[in-house]
Amino acid sequence: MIARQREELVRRYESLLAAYQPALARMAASYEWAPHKREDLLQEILLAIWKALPKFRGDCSERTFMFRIAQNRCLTHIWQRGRDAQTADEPPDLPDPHSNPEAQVIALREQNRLQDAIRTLPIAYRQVLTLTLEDLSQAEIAAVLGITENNAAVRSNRARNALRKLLGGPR
Amino acid sequence: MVDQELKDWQATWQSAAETAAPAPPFDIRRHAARAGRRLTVRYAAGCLWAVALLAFSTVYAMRHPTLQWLLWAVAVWIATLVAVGFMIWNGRGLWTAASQSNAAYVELSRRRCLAELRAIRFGYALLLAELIVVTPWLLWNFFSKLGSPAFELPAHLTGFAVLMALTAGYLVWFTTYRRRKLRELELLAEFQRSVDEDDIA
Repeated sequence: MIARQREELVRRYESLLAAYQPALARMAASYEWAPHKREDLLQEILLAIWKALPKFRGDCSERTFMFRIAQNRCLTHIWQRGRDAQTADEPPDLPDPHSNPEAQVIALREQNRLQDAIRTLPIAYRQVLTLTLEDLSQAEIAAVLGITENNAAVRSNRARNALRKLLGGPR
Repeated sequence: MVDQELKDWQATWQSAAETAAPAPPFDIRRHAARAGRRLTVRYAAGCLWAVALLAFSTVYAMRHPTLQWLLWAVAVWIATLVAVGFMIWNGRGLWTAASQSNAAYVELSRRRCLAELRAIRFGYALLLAELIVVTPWLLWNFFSKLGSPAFELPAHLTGFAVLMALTAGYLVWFTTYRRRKLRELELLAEFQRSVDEDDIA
């Protein structure tokens, strides 16, 4: 009986990972510059999801549940780290021009530019923006962050304005 | 126009291929069990340490039944019981968040920070109490035996050195830890402010 429940849990976990791991990885990337620490953060997020999965009672969608845990884990990461800035010995990863065709280099540069800009936003804006970029609705964002829909919309607008300003700067 | 802008951002954002390998469920399960027990283990370790201290002081006082060692054992008992009582009292409400929302999470983190700061203040007080008791006792022990055949200078010097090293070590640890917790509280407050500003809007 217990073994069957565990199997079911593993199955649910794996299906969640299959669907959302890239999104979770992108979220981790928006909170951590250094690639190796980013991987650690992703592992912490996955661990937190695994721990919380048995308590999930279906009072919201699995996607909302998962992003909520991931956001909380990212906040913990920032608070534990005690700072939120790139350190000199941890440069952001840049595309390697020797191993990528030109188009890929340009695309990677755009991704890095967007990620770098998002990382510099205040945490509250970063949260709402990363969820918006993952196609979550205002209602879902509100549910993930524990705020009202109106609040989510206001914050989303401000976050987009802030991001627009950042991206409008010199490349 | 603006929607197109968002779509472009989404396309760029979602094309980022982050490829960290997921940990296999078995490993995660094992780590999850460990992480879940961490807080409990810390408290259990505190209790075990207290029991060990109580047992040691009792046995030592029974083997050396002089007024000096009986008083010492009583002091250890009082300090240990007060510390355990504080630890249990201080740990109330620190185990789980009221809900999974950001607000509940911020509140839990803030409570944990404040509890840690309380523990540091308690540590300072306990250290001071210990110094008030131990320093005169060491001095009395030193001067009462000075000049007698039982006087052993290295033993007395070791006692003073251990006391000074422990005091310095605790002070450095408390100061560093306190600074870290205050910084964490500032970050929490900053985050809370940004959330509140949006609430007002």
